[in-house]
Amino acid sequence: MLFLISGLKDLADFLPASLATIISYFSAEVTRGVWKPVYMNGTDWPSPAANLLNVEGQIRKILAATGVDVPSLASGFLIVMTLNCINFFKIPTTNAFSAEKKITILTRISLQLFLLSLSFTLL
Amino acid sequence: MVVVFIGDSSPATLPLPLAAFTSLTITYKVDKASERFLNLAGQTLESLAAGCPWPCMPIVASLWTLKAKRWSDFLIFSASRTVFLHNSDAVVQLLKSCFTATLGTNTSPISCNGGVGALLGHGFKYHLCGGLCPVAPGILYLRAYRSIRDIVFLTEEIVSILMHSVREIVCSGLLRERLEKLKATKDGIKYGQASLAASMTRVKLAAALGASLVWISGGLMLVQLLIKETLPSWFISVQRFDQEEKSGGMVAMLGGYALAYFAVLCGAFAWGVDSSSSASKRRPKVLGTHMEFLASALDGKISLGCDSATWRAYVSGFVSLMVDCTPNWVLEVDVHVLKRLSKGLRQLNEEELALALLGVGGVGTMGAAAELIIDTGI
Repeated sequence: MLFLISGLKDLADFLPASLATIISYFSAEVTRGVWKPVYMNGTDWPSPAANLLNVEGQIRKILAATGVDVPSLASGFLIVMTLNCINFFKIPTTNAFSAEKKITILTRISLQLFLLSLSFTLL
Repeated sequence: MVVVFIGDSSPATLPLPLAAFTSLTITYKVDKASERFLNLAGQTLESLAAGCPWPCMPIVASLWTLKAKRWSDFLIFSASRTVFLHNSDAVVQLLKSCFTATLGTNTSPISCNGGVGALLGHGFKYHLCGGLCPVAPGILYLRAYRSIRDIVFLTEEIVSILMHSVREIVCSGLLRERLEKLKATKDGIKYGQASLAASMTRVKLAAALGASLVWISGGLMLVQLLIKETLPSWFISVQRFDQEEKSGGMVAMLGGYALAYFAVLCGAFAWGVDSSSSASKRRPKVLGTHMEFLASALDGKISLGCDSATWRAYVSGFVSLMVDCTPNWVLEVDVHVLKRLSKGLRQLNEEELALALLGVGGVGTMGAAAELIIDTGI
Protein backbone atom coordinates (compact mmCIF):
# COMPACT_ATOMS: atom_id res chain seq x y z
CA MET A 1 0.00 0.00 0.00
CA LEU A 2 2.88 2.35 0.84
CA PHE A 3 4.34 1.53 -2.53
CA LEU A 4 1.07 2.42 -4.21
CA ILE A 5 0.46 5.70 -2.35
CA SER A 6 4.03 6.99 -2.62
CA GLY A 7 3.99 6.07 -6.30
CA LEU A 8 0.79 8.05 -6.82
CA LYS A 9 2.16 11.02 -4.88
CA ASP A 10 5.36 11.05 -6.95
CA LEU A 11 3.29 10.88 -10.08
CA ALA A 12 1.06 13.78 -8.97
CA ASP A 13 4.04 15.89 -7.89
CA PHE A 14 5.90 15.27 -11.10
CA LEU A 15 2.89 15.66 -13.38
CA PRO A 16 0.31 17.96 -11.74
CA ALA A 17 -1.99 17.50 -14.73
CA SER A 18 -2.40 13.85 -13.81
CA LEU A 19 -4.25 14.83 -10.62
CA ALA A 20 -7.61 15.13 -12.31
CA THR A 21 -7.16 11.71 -13.88
CA ILE A 22 -6.20 10.13 -10.57
CA ILE A 23 -9.20 11.70 -8.84
CA SER A 24 -11.67 10.76 -11.53
CA TYR A 25 -10.26 7.25 -11.65
CA PHE A 26 -10.80 6.79 -7.92
CA SER A 27 -14.29 8.28 -8.11
CA ALA A 28 -15.23 5.90 -10.90
CA GLU A 29 -13.84 2.91 -9.01
CA VAL A 30 -15.63 3.85 -5.78
CA THR A 31 -18.94 4.29 -7.58
CA ARG A 32 -18.43 1.02 -9.45
CA GLY A 33 -18.33 -0.62 -6.05
CA VAL A 34 -16.70 -3.91 -7.05
CA TRP A 35 -13.69 -3.61 -4.76
CA LYS A 36 -13.54 -5.48 -1.49
CA PRO A 37 -13.39 -3.45 1.71
CA VAL A 38 -9.97 -3.20 3.36
CA TYR A 39 -9.28 -3.14 7.07
CA MET A 40 -7.97 0.17 8.33
CA ASN A 41 -5.78 -1.56 10.91
CA GLY A 42 -2.77 0.72 10.96
CA THR A 43 -0.35 -1.65 9.23
CA ASP A 44 -1.52 -1.90 5.63
CA TRP A 45 -3.65 1.19 5.77
CA PRO A 46 -3.80 4.12 8.21
CA SER A 47 -5.93 3.46 11.26
CA PRO A 48 -8.66 5.80 12.53
CA ALA A 49 -8.92 3.93 15.85
CA ALA A 50 -7.33 6.74 17.88
CA ASN A 51 -10.13 9.10 16.99
CA LEU A 52 -13.08 7.04 15.84
CA LEU A 53 -14.84 6.82 19.20
CA ASN A 54 -14.42 10.54 19.74
CA VAL A 55 -15.87 11.30 16.30
CA GLU A 56 -18.77 8.95 16.94
CA GLY A 57 -19.45 10.63 20.28
CA GLN A 58 -19.44 14.08 18.67
CA ILE A 59 -21.83 12.92 15.94
CA ARG A 60 -24.17 11.52 18.56
CA LYS A 61 -23.98 14.81 20.43
CA ILE A 62 -24.80 16.86 17.31
CA LEU A 63 -27.80 14.67 16.55
CA ALA A 64 -28.94 14.45 20.17
CA ALA A 65 -31.70 17.03 19.78
CA THR A 66 -33.31 15.12 16.92
CA GLY A 67 -33.42 11.76 18.64
CA VAL A 68 -32.05 10.14 15.48
CA ASP A 69 -30.43 6.80 16.13
CA VAL A 70 -26.85 6.77 14.87
CA PRO A 71 -25.74 3.33 13.75
CA SER A 72 -22.77 2.29 15.85
CA LEU A 73 -19.34 2.32 14.28
CA ALA A 74 -17.10 -0.70 13.98
CA SER A 75 -15.67 -0.63 17.47
CA GLY A 76 -16.61 -2.47 20.58
CA PHE A 77 -19.38 -4.84 19.56
CA LEU A 78 -20.28 -8.38 20.53
CA ILE A 79 -20.29 -11.29 18.17
CA VAL A 80 -22.03 -14.48 19.15
CA MET A 81 -21.00 -17.53 17.20
CA THR A 82 -20.50 -21.26 17.51
CA LEU A 83 -17.03 -22.71 17.93
CA ASN A 84 -17.09 -24.24 14.48
CA CYS A 85 -17.70 -20.93 12.89
CA ILE A 86 -14.64 -19.20 14.29
CA ASN A 87 -12.28 -20.44 11.62
CA PHE A 88 -14.84 -19.65 8.99
CA PHE A 89 -15.15 -16.07 10.15
CA LYS A 90 -11.44 -15.58 10.71
CA ILE A 91 -10.44 -12.25 9.34
CA PRO A 92 -7.33 -12.19 7.19
CA THR A 93 -5.52 -9.16 8.56
CA THR A 94 -2.31 -9.12 6.61
CA ASN A 95 -1.70 -9.53 2.91
CA ALA A 96 -5.36 -8.97 2.27
CA PHE A 97 -4.31 -7.27 -0.91
CA SER A 98 -1.72 -8.85 -3.00
CA ALA A 99 0.92 -6.89 -4.82
CA GLU A 100 -0.83 -7.79 -8.06
CA LYS A 101 -3.86 -5.66 -7.24
CA LYS A 102 -1.69 -2.67 -6.40
CA ILE A 103 0.13 -3.09 -9.66
CA THR A 104 -3.19 -3.39 -11.50
CA ILE A 105 -4.27 0.01 -10.14
CA LEU A 106 -0.98 1.63 -11.10
CA THR A 107 -1.04 0.11 -14.56
CA ARG A 108 -4.57 1.30 -15.18
CA ILE A 109 -3.77 4.82 -14.08
CA SER A 110 -0.62 5.00 -16.16
CA LEU A 111 -2.50 3.62 -19.14
CA GLN A 112 -5.14 6.31 -18.77
CA LEU A 113 -2.40 8.93 -18.43
CA PHE A 114 -0.72 7.63 -21.54
CA LEU A 115 -3.97 7.87 -23.49
CA LEU A 116 -4.54 11.36 -22.12
CA SER A 117 -1.09 12.57 -23.18
CA LEU A 118 -1.53 10.88 -26.55
CA SER A 119 -4.78 12.75 -27.13
CA PHE A 120 -3.08 16.02 -26.18
CA THR A 121 -0.23 15.45 -28.65
CA LEU A 122 -2.71 14.59 -31.38
CA LEU A 123 -4.61 17.79 -30.71
CA MET B 1 -21.60 -20.89 21.91
CA VAL B 2 -18.72 -18.51 22.32
CA VAL B 3 -19.09 -14.82 22.90
CA VAL B 4 -16.20 -12.89 21.43
CA PHE B 5 -15.76 -9.29 22.42
CA ILE B 6 -14.07 -7.27 19.77
CA GLY B 7 -12.60 -4.20 21.39
CA ASP B 8 -11.15 -1.01 20.01
CA SER B 9 -8.69 -2.94 17.93
CA SER B 10 -11.46 -4.23 15.68
CA PRO B 11 -10.78 -3.12 12.15
CA ALA B 12 -12.85 -0.44 10.48
CA THR B 13 -13.25 -1.03 6.77
CA LEU B 14 -13.31 1.14 3.67
CA PRO B 15 -13.65 0.14 0.02
CA LEU B 16 -10.16 -0.22 -1.46
CA PRO B 17 -10.24 2.75 -3.87
CA LEU B 18 -11.62 5.02 -1.14
CA ALA B 19 -8.95 3.82 1.28
CA ALA B 20 -6.27 4.52 -1.32
CA PHE B 21 -7.69 7.93 -2.15
CA THR B 22 -8.00 8.91 1.53
CA SER B 23 -4.45 7.76 2.18
CA LEU B 24 -3.24 9.76 -0.78
CA THR B 25 -4.91 12.96 0.47
CA ILE B 26 -3.47 12.42 3.94
CA THR B 27 0.10 12.30 2.63
CA TYR B 28 -0.14 15.94 1.61
CA LYS B 29 0.81 18.63 4.09
CA VAL B 30 -1.88 21.23 4.78
CA ASP B 31 -0.07 24.31 3.43
CA LYS B 32 -0.07 26.74 0.53
CA ALA B 33 1.84 24.44 -1.78
CA SER B 34 -0.69 21.65 -1.71
CA GLU B 35 -3.74 23.89 -1.47
CA ARG B 36 -4.59 23.34 -5.11
CA PHE B 37 -4.59 19.60 -4.73
CA LEU B 38 -6.57 19.60 -1.51
CA ASN B 39 -9.23 21.92 -2.94
CA LEU B 40 -9.72 19.56 -5.82
CA ALA B 41 -9.46 16.32 -3.91
CA GLY B 42 -11.23 17.41 -0.72
CA GLN B 43 -14.58 17.97 -2.34
CA THR B 44 -14.42 14.72 -4.28
CA LEU B 45 -13.39 12.84 -1.17
CA GLU B 46 -16.28 14.28 0.82
CA SER B 47 -18.91 13.43 -1.77
CA LEU B 48 -17.44 9.98 -2.42
CA ALA B 49 -17.29 9.08 1.26
CA ALA B 50 -20.82 10.42 1.76
CA GLY B 51 -21.99 8.16 -1.06
CA CYS B 52 -20.54 5.02 0.50
CA PRO B 53 -22.40 3.03 3.17
CA TRP B 54 -22.63 4.45 6.67
CA PRO B 55 -19.43 4.05 8.63
CA CYS B 56 -17.25 5.20 5.70
CA MET B 57 -17.76 8.91 6.26
CA PRO B 58 -16.95 8.86 10.00
CA ILE B 59 -13.86 6.78 9.28
CA VAL B 60 -12.63 9.23 6.64
CA ALA B 61 -13.53 12.13 8.94
CA SER B 62 -11.62 10.67 11.86
CA LEU B 63 -8.58 9.97 9.68
CA TRP B 64 -8.65 13.57 8.58
CA THR B 65 -9.25 15.01 12.04
CA LEU B 66 -6.12 13.16 13.14
CA LYS B 67 -4.33 15.05 10.38
CA ALA B 68 -5.91 18.52 10.65
CA LYS B 69 -7.24 19.26 14.13
CA ARG B 70 -8.60 22.70 13.26
CA TRP B 71 -10.94 21.24 10.64
CA SER B 72 -12.44 18.73 13.01
CA ASP B 73 -15.74 20.60 13.62
CA PHE B 74 -16.39 20.94 9.91
CA LEU B 75 -15.48 17.32 9.21
CA ILE B 76 -17.58 15.97 12.06
CA PHE B 77 -20.60 18.05 11.07
CA SER B 78 -20.30 16.85 7.47
CA ALA B 79 -20.13 13.30 8.71
CA SER B 80 -23.20 13.72 10.89
CA ARG B 81 -25.25 14.87 7.89
CA THR B 82 -24.56 11.66 6.02
CA VAL B 83 -26.65 9.68 8.50
CA PHE B 84 -29.66 11.01 6.59
CA LEU B 85 -28.45 10.15 3.09
CA HIS B 86 -28.79 6.42 3.37
CA ASN B 87 -31.53 6.04 5.89
CA SER B 88 -35.04 7.29 5.16
CA ASP B 89 -36.15 6.30 8.67
CA ALA B 90 -33.67 8.84 10.03
CA VAL B 91 -35.14 11.48 7.70
CA VAL B 92 -38.64 10.73 8.98
CA GLN B 93 -37.36 10.95 12.53
CA LEU B 94 -35.74 14.30 11.75
CA LEU B 95 -39.00 15.59 10.26
CA LYS B 96 -40.89 14.46 13.34
CA SER B 97 -38.48 16.26 15.61
CA CYS B 98 -38.86 19.42 13.47
CA PHE B 99 -42.60 19.29 14.26
CA THR B 100 -42.22 18.50 17.94
CA ALA B 101 -39.59 21.22 18.38
CA THR B 102 -41.77 23.84 16.65
CA LEU B 103 -44.94 22.89 18.52
CA GLY B 104 -43.12 22.49 21.82
CA THR B 105 -44.47 19.00 22.36
CA ASN B 106 -41.05 17.46 22.85
CA THR B 107 -39.09 16.89 25.97
CA SER B 108 -35.67 17.63 24.54
CA PRO B 109 -33.23 19.74 26.50
CA ILE B 110 -33.03 22.49 23.85
CA SER B 111 -36.41 24.09 24.43
CA CYS B 112 -39.92 23.20 25.39
CA ASN B 113 -41.51 26.48 24.36
CA GLY B 114 -41.58 25.72 20.65
CA GLY B 115 -41.63 28.27 17.84
CA VAL B 116 -39.09 29.07 15.17
CA GLY B 117 -36.41 29.58 17.82
CA ALA B 118 -36.64 25.95 18.81
CA LEU B 119 -36.84 24.80 15.19
CA LEU B 120 -33.75 26.63 13.99
CA GLY B 121 -31.87 27.08 17.25
CA HIS B 122 -29.14 29.62 17.60
CA GLY B 123 -26.45 28.35 15.28
CA PHE B 124 -23.53 26.29 16.43
CA LYS B 125 -22.66 26.64 20.04
CA TYR B 126 -19.73 25.22 21.91
CA HIS B 127 -19.53 23.90 25.39
CA LEU B 128 -16.94 25.66 27.48
CA CYS B 129 -15.21 22.35 27.93
CA GLY B 130 -15.02 21.89 24.14
CA GLY B 131 -17.09 19.98 21.65
CA LEU B 132 -20.25 20.78 19.75
CA CYS B 133 -23.69 21.24 21.28
CA PRO B 134 -26.75 19.47 19.88
CA VAL B 135 -27.82 21.12 16.61
CA ALA B 136 -31.45 22.22 16.19
CA PRO B 137 -33.45 19.88 13.92
CA GLY B 138 -34.39 22.61 11.43
CA ILE B 139 -30.74 23.48 10.76
CA LEU B 140 -29.90 19.83 10.28
CA TYR B 141 -32.77 19.44 7.83
CA LEU B 142 -31.66 22.52 5.89
CA ARG B 143 -28.18 21.03 5.60
CA ALA B 144 -29.35 17.53 4.72
CA TYR B 145 -32.40 17.79 2.45
CA ARG B 146 -30.45 18.43 -0.74
CA SER B 147 -28.84 15.05 -0.56
CA ILE B 148 -31.95 13.01 0.26
CA ARG B 149 -32.23 10.71 -2.72
CA ASP B 150 -35.91 9.87 -2.76
CA ILE B 151 -38.01 12.93 -2.03
CA VAL B 152 -41.28 11.57 -3.39
CA PHE B 153 -42.06 9.70 -0.16
CA LEU B 154 -41.68 12.95 1.79
CA THR B 155 -45.18 14.30 1.02
CA GLU B 156 -46.92 11.24 2.44
CA GLU B 157 -44.71 11.28 5.50
CA ILE B 158 -45.26 14.99 6.11
CA VAL B 159 -49.06 14.57 5.78
CA SER B 160 -49.08 11.73 8.30
CA ILE B 161 -46.78 13.59 10.72
CA LEU B 162 -49.04 16.63 10.40
CA MET B 163 -52.10 14.55 11.30
CA HIS B 164 -50.23 13.03 14.21
CA SER B 165 -49.23 16.51 15.43
CA VAL B 166 -52.88 17.64 15.31
CA ARG B 167 -53.81 14.75 17.57
CA GLU B 168 -51.01 15.66 19.98
CA ILE B 169 -52.10 19.32 20.00
CA VAL B 170 -55.71 18.41 20.82
CA CYS B 171 -54.69 15.94 23.52
CA SER B 172 -52.27 18.36 25.20
CA GLY B 173 -54.94 21.10 24.96
CA LEU B 174 -57.50 18.85 26.66
CA LEU B 175 -55.02 18.03 29.38
CA ARG B 176 -54.28 21.69 30.07
CA GLU B 177 -58.01 22.47 30.06
CA ARG B 178 -58.68 19.82 32.64
CA LEU B 179 -55.89 21.19 34.86
CA GLU B 180 -57.32 24.70 34.60
CA LYS B 181 -60.79 23.44 35.42
CA LEU B 182 -59.39 21.92 38.57
CA LYS B 183 -57.81 25.21 39.56
CA ALA B 184 -60.43 27.80 38.68
CA THR B 185 -64.18 27.26 38.86
CA LYS B 186 -67.30 29.00 37.69
CA ASP B 187 -65.92 32.29 36.34
CA GLY B 188 -68.17 31.89 33.35
CA ILE B 189 -65.33 31.31 30.87
CA LYS B 190 -66.18 28.84 28.19
CA TYR B 191 -63.18 26.56 28.40
CA GLY B 192 -64.10 24.65 25.27
CA GLN B 193 -63.93 27.77 23.10
CA ALA B 194 -60.68 29.00 24.58
CA SER B 195 -58.97 25.69 24.02
CA LEU B 196 -60.35 25.41 20.46
CA ALA B 197 -58.89 28.81 19.53
CA ALA B 198 -55.55 27.97 21.14
CA SER B 199 -55.42 24.60 19.42
CA MET B 200 -56.33 26.20 16.08
CA THR B 201 -53.38 28.60 16.36
CA ARG B 202 -51.02 25.70 16.92
CA VAL B 203 -52.61 23.67 14.13
CA LYS B 204 -51.97 26.56 11.74
CA LEU B 205 -48.34 26.64 12.90
CA ALA B 206 -47.99 22.93 12.20
CA ALA B 207 -49.57 23.33 8.76
CA ALA B 208 -47.25 26.24 7.92
CA LEU B 209 -44.23 24.16 8.95
CA GLY B 210 -45.42 21.23 6.84
CA ALA B 211 -45.92 23.46 3.80
CA SER B 212 -42.47 25.03 4.24
CA LEU B 213 -40.85 21.60 4.48
CA VAL B 214 -42.58 20.37 1.30
CA TRP B 215 -41.68 23.54 -0.57
CA ILE B 216 -37.98 23.63 0.33
CA SER B 217 -37.52 19.88 -0.15
CA GLY B 218 -39.07 19.44 -3.56
CA GLY B 219 -40.26 22.79 -4.83
CA LEU B 220 -42.89 23.02 -7.54
CA MET B 221 -42.68 19.34 -8.49
CA LEU B 222 -43.39 18.10 -4.97
CA VAL B 223 -46.23 20.58 -4.41
CA GLN B 224 -47.92 19.44 -7.62
CA LEU B 225 -47.48 15.82 -6.59
CA LEU B 226 -49.02 16.62 -3.22
CA ILE B 227 -52.10 18.32 -4.64
CA LYS B 228 -52.63 15.99 -7.59
CA GLU B 229 -51.89 12.65 -5.94
CA THR B 230 -51.00 12.55 -2.26
CA LEU B 231 -53.95 14.51 -0.87
CA PRO B 232 -56.69 12.84 -3.00
CA SER B 233 -55.32 9.39 -2.21
CA TRP B 234 -55.14 10.29 1.48
CA PHE B 235 -58.85 11.24 1.44
CA ILE B 236 -59.87 8.17 -0.53
CA SER B 237 -57.91 5.64 1.49
CA VAL B 238 -59.53 4.36 4.65
CA GLN B 239 -58.03 6.00 7.70
CA ARG B 240 -58.01 4.13 10.94
CA PHE B 241 -58.12 6.72 13.68
CA ASP B 242 -58.07 5.44 17.19
CA GLN B 243 -60.53 8.06 18.29
CA GLU B 244 -60.58 8.75 21.97
CA GLU B 245 -64.01 9.57 23.33
CA LYS B 246 -62.83 12.70 25.10
CA SER B 247 -61.63 14.53 21.99
CA GLY B 248 -65.20 14.54 20.68
CA GLY B 249 -64.43 14.74 16.98
CA MET B 250 -62.13 17.70 17.48
CA VAL B 251 -59.13 15.78 16.17
CA ALA B 252 -60.97 14.93 12.97
CA MET B 253 -62.20 18.48 12.40
CA LEU B 254 -58.89 20.20 13.19
CA GLY B 255 -57.14 17.63 10.98
CA GLY B 256 -59.28 18.79 8.06
CA TYR B 257 -58.47 22.44 8.72
CA ALA B 258 -54.78 21.60 9.06
CA LEU B 259 -54.81 19.93 5.64
CA ALA B 260 -56.66 22.92 4.13
CA TYR B 261 -54.08 25.40 5.44
CA PHE B 262 -51.28 23.07 4.41
CA ALA B 263 -52.59 22.68 0.85
CA VAL B 264 -53.34 26.38 0.28
CA LEU B 265 -49.95 27.43 1.70
CA CYS B 266 -48.12 24.89 -0.46
CA GLY B 267 -49.97 26.20 -3.51
CA ALA B 268 -49.22 29.80 -2.58
CA PHE B 269 -45.51 29.03 -2.13
CA ALA B 270 -45.34 27.26 -5.47
CA TRP B 271 -47.56 29.36 -7.74
CA GLY B 272 -48.00 32.66 -5.96
CA VAL B 273 -51.34 34.30 -5.30
CA ASP B 274 -51.52 36.25 -8.56
CA SER B 275 -50.31 35.74 -12.12
CA SER B 276 -46.98 37.57 -11.85
CA SER B 277 -44.69 34.54 -11.54
CA SER B 278 -43.92 32.15 -14.36
CA ALA B 279 -44.91 29.19 -12.18
CA SER B 280 -48.45 30.56 -11.96
CA LYS B 281 -49.05 29.31 -15.52
CA ARG B 282 -49.08 25.75 -14.19
CA ARG B 283 -51.65 26.62 -11.55
CA PRO B 284 -54.94 26.34 -13.54
CA LYS B 285 -54.26 22.75 -14.56
CA VAL B 286 -53.30 21.35 -11.15
CA LEU B 287 -55.80 23.44 -9.21
CA GLY B 288 -58.52 22.57 -11.73
CA THR B 289 -57.87 18.85 -11.18
CA HIS B 290 -58.08 19.30 -7.43
CA MET B 291 -61.32 21.33 -7.57
CA GLU B 292 -62.77 18.71 -9.89
CA PHE B 293 -61.86 16.11 -7.26
CA LEU B 294 -63.54 18.16 -4.51
CA ALA B 295 -66.69 18.63 -6.60
CA SER B 296 -66.90 14.95 -7.57
CA ALA B 297 -66.48 13.83 -3.97
CA LEU B 298 -69.20 16.26 -2.89
CA ASP B 299 -71.47 14.95 -5.68
CA GLY B 300 -70.89 11.45 -4.39
CA LYS B 301 -69.12 10.27 -7.58
CA ILE B 302 -66.00 9.48 -5.54
CA SER B 303 -66.42 7.69 -2.24
CA LEU B 304 -64.10 8.79 0.54
CA GLY B 305 -62.43 6.75 3.23
CA CYS B 306 -61.59 9.51 5.67
CA ASP B 307 -63.66 10.79 8.55
CA SER B 308 -66.64 12.87 7.32
CA ALA B 309 -65.81 15.65 9.81
CA THR B 310 -62.27 15.84 8.40
CA TRP B 311 -63.57 16.04 4.85
CA ARG B 312 -66.13 18.69 5.69
CA ALA B 313 -63.54 20.80 7.51
CA TYR B 314 -61.11 20.39 4.61
CA VAL B 315 -63.57 21.46 1.93
CA SER B 316 -64.91 24.45 3.83
CA GLY B 317 -61.42 25.44 4.95
CA PHE B 318 -59.89 25.15 1.50
CA VAL B 319 -62.70 27.03 -0.26
CA SER B 320 -62.93 29.82 2.31
CA LEU B 321 -59.15 30.33 2.27
CA MET B 322 -59.30 30.54 -1.52
CA VAL B 323 -62.20 33.02 -1.45
CA ASP B 324 -60.61 35.21 1.22
CA CYS B 325 -56.91 35.04 0.44
CA THR B 326 -56.43 33.96 -3.18
CA PRO B 327 -59.51 35.07 -5.16
CA ASN B 328 -57.45 35.04 -8.37
CA TRP B 329 -57.27 31.25 -8.11
CA VAL B 330 -61.06 30.98 -8.25
CA LEU B 331 -61.16 32.84 -11.58
CA GLU B 332 -59.01 30.14 -13.19
CA VAL B 333 -61.35 27.30 -12.23
CA ASP B 334 -63.91 26.04 -14.71
CA VAL B 335 -67.37 27.63 -14.22
CA HIS B 336 -69.21 24.29 -14.18
CA VAL B 337 -66.91 22.94 -11.48
CA LEU B 338 -67.57 26.07 -9.40
CA LYS B 339 -71.33 25.57 -9.76
CA ARG B 340 -71.06 21.92 -8.72
CA LEU B 341 -68.89 22.91 -5.76
CA SER B 342 -71.38 25.52 -4.57
CA LYS B 343 -74.19 22.98 -4.84
CA GLY B 344 -72.14 20.57 -2.74
CA LEU B 345 -71.37 23.28 -0.18
CA ARG B 346 -75.11 23.99 0.18
CA GLN B 347 -75.64 20.34 1.02
CA LEU B 348 -73.08 20.77 3.82
CA ASN B 349 -75.17 23.74 5.09
CA GLU B 350 -72.47 26.20 3.98
CA GLU B 351 -74.80 28.53 2.04
CA GLU B 352 -72.81 31.69 2.74
CA LEU B 353 -69.57 30.09 1.60
CA ALA B 354 -71.32 28.76 -1.52
CA LEU B 355 -72.52 32.27 -2.32
CA ALA B 356 -69.09 33.80 -1.64
CA LEU B 357 -67.49 31.26 -3.99
CA LEU B 358 -69.93 32.12 -6.78
CA GLY B 359 -69.44 35.80 -6.00
CA VAL B 360 -65.67 35.69 -6.68
CA GLY B 361 -66.17 33.41 -9.66
CA GLY B 362 -66.76 36.36 -12.00
CA VAL B 363 -69.29 36.85 -14.77
CA GLY B 364 -69.73 33.14 -15.48
CA THR B 365 -71.14 32.33 -12.08
CA MET B 366 -73.25 35.47 -11.71
CA GLY B 367 -76.48 33.76 -12.81
CA ALA B 368 -75.93 30.85 -10.42
CA ALA B 369 -75.25 33.31 -7.59
CA ALA B 370 -78.54 35.12 -8.31
CA GLU B 371 -80.44 31.80 -8.29
CA LEU B 372 -78.85 30.89 -5.00
CA ILE B 373 -79.91 34.21 -3.44
CA ILE B 374 -83.51 33.75 -4.62
CA ASP B 375 -83.61 30.11 -3.44
CA THR B 376 -82.24 30.65 0.02
CA GLY B 377 -83.24 34.22 0.64
CA ILE B 378 -79.87 35.19 2.18
